[in-house]
Amino acid sequence: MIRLKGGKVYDPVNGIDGKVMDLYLRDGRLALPGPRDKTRQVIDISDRIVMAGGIDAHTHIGGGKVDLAKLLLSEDHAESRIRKGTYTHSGSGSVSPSSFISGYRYAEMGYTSCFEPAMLPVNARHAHLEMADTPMVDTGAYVLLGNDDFLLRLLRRKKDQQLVQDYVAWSIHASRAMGVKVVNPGGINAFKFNQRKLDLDEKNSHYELTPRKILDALIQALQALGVPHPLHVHCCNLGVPGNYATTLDTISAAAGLPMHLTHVQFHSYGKEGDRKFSSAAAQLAEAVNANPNVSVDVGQIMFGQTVTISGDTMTQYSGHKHAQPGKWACMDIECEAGCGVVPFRYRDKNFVNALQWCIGLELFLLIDDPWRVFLTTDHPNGAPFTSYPHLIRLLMDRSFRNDMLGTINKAAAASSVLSSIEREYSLYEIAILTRAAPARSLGLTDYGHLGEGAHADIAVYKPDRNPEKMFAKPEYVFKRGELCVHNGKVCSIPKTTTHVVEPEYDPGVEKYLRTYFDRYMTMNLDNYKLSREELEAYNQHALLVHKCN
Amino acid sequence: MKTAVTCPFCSLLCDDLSAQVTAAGIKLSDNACAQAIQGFSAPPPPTRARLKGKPVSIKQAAAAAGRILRRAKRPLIAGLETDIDGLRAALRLGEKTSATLLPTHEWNARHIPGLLRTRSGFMTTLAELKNRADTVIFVGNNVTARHERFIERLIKPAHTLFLGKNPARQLIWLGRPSRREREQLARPPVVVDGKDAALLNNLALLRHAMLSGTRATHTGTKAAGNKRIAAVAQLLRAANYGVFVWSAATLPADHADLIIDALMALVWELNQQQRFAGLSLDSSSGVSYRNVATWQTGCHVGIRFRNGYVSAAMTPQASLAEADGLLWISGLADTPAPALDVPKVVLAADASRADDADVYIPTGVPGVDHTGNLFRTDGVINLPLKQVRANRSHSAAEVLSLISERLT
Repeated sequence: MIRLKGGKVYDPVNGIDGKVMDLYLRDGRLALPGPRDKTRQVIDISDRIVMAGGIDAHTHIGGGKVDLAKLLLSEDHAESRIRKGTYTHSGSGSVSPSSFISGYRYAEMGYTSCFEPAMLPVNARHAHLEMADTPMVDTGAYVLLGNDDFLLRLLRRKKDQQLVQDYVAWSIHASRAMGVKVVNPGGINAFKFNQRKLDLDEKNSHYELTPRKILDALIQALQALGVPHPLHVHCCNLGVPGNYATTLDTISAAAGLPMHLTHVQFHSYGKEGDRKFSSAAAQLAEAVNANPNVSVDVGQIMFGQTVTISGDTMTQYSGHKHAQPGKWACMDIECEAGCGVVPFRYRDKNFVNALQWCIGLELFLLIDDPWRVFLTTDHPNGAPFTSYPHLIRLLMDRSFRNDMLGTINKAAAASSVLSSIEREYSLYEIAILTRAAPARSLGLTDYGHLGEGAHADIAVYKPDRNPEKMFAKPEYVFKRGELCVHNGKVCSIPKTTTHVVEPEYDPGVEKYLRTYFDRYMTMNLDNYKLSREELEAYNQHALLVHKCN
Repeated sequence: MKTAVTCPFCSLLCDDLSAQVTAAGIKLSDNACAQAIQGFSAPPPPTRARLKGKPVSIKQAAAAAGRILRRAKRPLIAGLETDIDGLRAALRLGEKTSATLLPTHEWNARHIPGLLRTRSGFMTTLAELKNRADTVIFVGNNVTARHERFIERLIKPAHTLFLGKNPARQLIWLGRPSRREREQLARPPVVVDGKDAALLNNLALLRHAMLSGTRATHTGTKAAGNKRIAAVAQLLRAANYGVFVWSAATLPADHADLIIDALMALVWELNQQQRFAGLSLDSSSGVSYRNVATWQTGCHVGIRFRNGYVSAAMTPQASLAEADGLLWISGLADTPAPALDVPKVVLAADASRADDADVYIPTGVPGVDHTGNLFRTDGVINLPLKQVRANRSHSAAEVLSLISERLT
């Protein structure tokens, strides 16, 4: 048993707000010491800040589009090379780092679990293989549905919702997923038929289905299956001025059922003002505050070079003209979905970029309930995940935030309400945004907290007046009870796992799928399915199956 | 007993085959192509390794291989015709021994790495082509030479989602179809033939015709050629979903990259009004290498581990020239090792590939002798491979790990 002595604990799941207490680690979990327990090691962490390991519920770290991003950012990979260490492999990249480096960097910031949000079923083997080469952190993924011809055919033929539900569950099993994401519902598909835009109530020209109908079918399916994480929704009209109206409509389309809106910063744009681009963060925040069924992650942007990667080929293709450097890649994929990768540099003196920065922060500060907001940059779309400590400082320190506001495009700063917002996040609230809330949303009952029985994923920070400095370099990080980062450096490679859910379904759905595959697909259904055994062999550890309700 | 298998011998990775193991060898179902039959009928690898021509145990050979890599100042791990596990093991060994890694496909196609890094593109996958492409343009001569079932499986399937049964597509060749390709087609395709050197020119003319809509004003032979180009431009304008298909290996080697670059530019321009995409027929080990190397290191062409860092290697020619120790991995295509006068280790199923090797270690073929995993030509789909025949051969991944463990 290891005793962490005297830390100041922030554990919102258990309502602990900065209480000084000892933690005990036994067999990789937090435990209460019993009379027979022998303390093997005591680590004095007096005055240190203690939180559960960070959980990133939306970060692009595995799969084909992530590799296309690395391919396109060869300059970054040539300039940013990372030497191998005693425990670590070499690698490269600061924007979309190579897989080993991503794992080290996450752990070095105190993160211990990461979820890839856009795994195509047909690319699931690839995504999981890449995540198996991402050390230090547990991984999991949401499978992308809603643009696949199989589902759209079911919906067009008005097949029974039960069949849709069975298909959704089957897809979660076949790709070993933790949830379901929909990207521009029906829009990626429509783009293959040369439609360039699709609103929530506009019909896909081939299937004559609206995004609303697709959303409805998927939300209901997940609700009935009891999958803990609600449908992860990337709305229509990403990045389009005035798109906040679509986002508000999407919230009402959920009709009170649980829904997670992802990277809402990109979906909170008005079209007021001389430049026809304005913040609608207040309207969005008001809607989120009024709809307790809705959670969001923000997708904050930061200034500098990054790369945008998305399944949304429709939007990414239309955005390719803004590529910086001027190269990009798109792909239509296997009657399932697509992807688009466009490098981009956000500039602080550019009106639109500067206002995007404000909009993200406004959302963080205007949405009241921290349990329904996850701290993300939609890595790497808004910024690389390594900017989280800086983002945390912007949320916790109003004067710093206003100093930064003073450096950006003046017209953008003047059009934002940011300077008038007094809110500063507390450490307790940061622990909610970065650990407790994502864990709750994903149904990770033994993660994201420090209560008895939880996995001992723990980050210990040296307090600093500058939260950026504090969160950038934890003094200790434990993964399943194993000390793996000391003073911000990797000191061992711990065992990790893959999180999945396995909702129940009627295997009869496979009869339809087999016919469909035999006729139209280019691989055998049995090879499409990623078996538990196959994935466990890649990872060299057992999967962790979470309960459905 | 018949078992369903995935054929690893080209990057279509056909998994609609079945195999039966008999005393005479592996018998494949009737839908197998000549390349599959040849691949599956190769004899299993020998059981003994060789050191300077003398039989030794695998462990002894692995130790000797490790010594060669350790002694070399510029070790080269090349060929890399193996599955994903083999590639992962090769990358680990490369990092440990500060080696350069160079896959075969790279110097065969004489890719210019600089172009790869600046190119934009819109690509597609096999099922999109099969179900959606009403217009398919083959670029080059004998494009499907190494992908024999391409036309049968993807151009002439019985069922499609959007083109009905037995779809009648508009097929166009910028280059020469082979006799086999012609025989497989129900009706003759539109062909804009020309010598290799004309291909780039024809693409430029086509791009011009598409963009400007102008008619050529030349006379004589040139006029006839341009008329055909204008006709092709007309067909492309009528397409709902067009796919350009090429294979770098069958394009003229000295300017394959320029052709691909011109194609990508054309696809980009066409997408402004219509829907078009590209599909490249590459080797599955090459595509797998590109993906695995990219995710593990951030570098995607030849890779050099040096002084604890990883970076893009120099040109293939320079990497070959500086090598003073070679580990050659040949598991799928049986490409012979380059004739370098340096200490040489060969991992291959076929011992005759290793006559001049200092160390030969037999390795099984993924998908025949052991399970494995490879990426298909479209780069998005990877398929599991089965072990078809019982044997005790080691996979390249196992042998590479043995070498890693025995490095002194």
